[in-house]
Amino acid sequence: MLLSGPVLADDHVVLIDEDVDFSAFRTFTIGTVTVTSKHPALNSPVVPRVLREAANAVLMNRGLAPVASQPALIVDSSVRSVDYGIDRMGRPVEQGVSRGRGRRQPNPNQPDFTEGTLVIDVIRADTKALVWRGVYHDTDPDASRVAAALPEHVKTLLSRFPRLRK
Amino acid sequence: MFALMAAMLSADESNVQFDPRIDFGAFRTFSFRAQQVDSRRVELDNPLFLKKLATAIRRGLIGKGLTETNGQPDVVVEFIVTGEEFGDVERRLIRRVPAGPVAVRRPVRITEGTLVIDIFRRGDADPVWRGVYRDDERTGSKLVNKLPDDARKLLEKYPRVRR
Repeated sequence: MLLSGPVLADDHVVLIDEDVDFSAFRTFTIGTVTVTSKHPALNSPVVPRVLREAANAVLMNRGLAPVASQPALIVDSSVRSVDYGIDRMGRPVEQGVSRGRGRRQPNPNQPDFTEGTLVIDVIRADTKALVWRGVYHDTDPDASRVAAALPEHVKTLLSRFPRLRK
Repeated sequence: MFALMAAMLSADESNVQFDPRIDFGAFRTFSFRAQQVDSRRVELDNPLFLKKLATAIRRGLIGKGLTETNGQPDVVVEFIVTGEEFGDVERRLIRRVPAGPVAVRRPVRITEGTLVIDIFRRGDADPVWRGVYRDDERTGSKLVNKLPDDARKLLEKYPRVRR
């Protein structure tokens, strides 16, 4: 018996440069948002706009001010999706990756689930150094649900960004 | 020529190799050289994770009595993390069902990270000490948090500086 439903658990992590004094940063700008996916729900032009809005709202809530020029921080984000099939043994197999002879390849036209990976990078504008990274992996049999959940994942990650002290 | 200490740590594996002819207690200073991550996982392949790992290694060596230097170190430290991912199946027996126990399979993905720490005597081409830790986790986030601790465990086996 193979369990259906949530295939793999979601996973997220935040990395921070512990030598950086985040209280010195007061302004930010949203930089590039790139999406790499063959799913229409994910590579839609709506996704970058929604991500920008979500990041903007959370960072303002953390006490930072959005500015158009000379920001202290630049916030770049990216979304990438990978499709997986479940092979005969019940193992997830990344589609499009060649396998050994004799192993069943799941149907590439019908993936069993999609993994969407959201990466948010916060870069110091003066040194161009990466000072904070948040990564969220979300898996779902329906890629449109991965797309729909992205703003919530932005919120989950950026709510762990250090709050600006008044 | 090289001595080998191996330990099985749950699903993880580690081993330390060193040249037994070397007087490690005489090495007092170190510096870092190459630091590298070779993984598709974005949580591992970034300068913040490299820094986190370097910090763990630095603490491990300082804890053994060595001092980091920018000048002419006695030993040079290099480390590399390689990552691989593969699918697997988790098998479970569910007992609390009316018709009796039911075996279920659930697809899982294993994220494997291998940390190799090499310590070279300054000027030598080959390392005099090597620690290898292979860590299997279900998620990349666990690997991010575990690998620095794995580095610490490896360096616990590094000889202390002689006073």
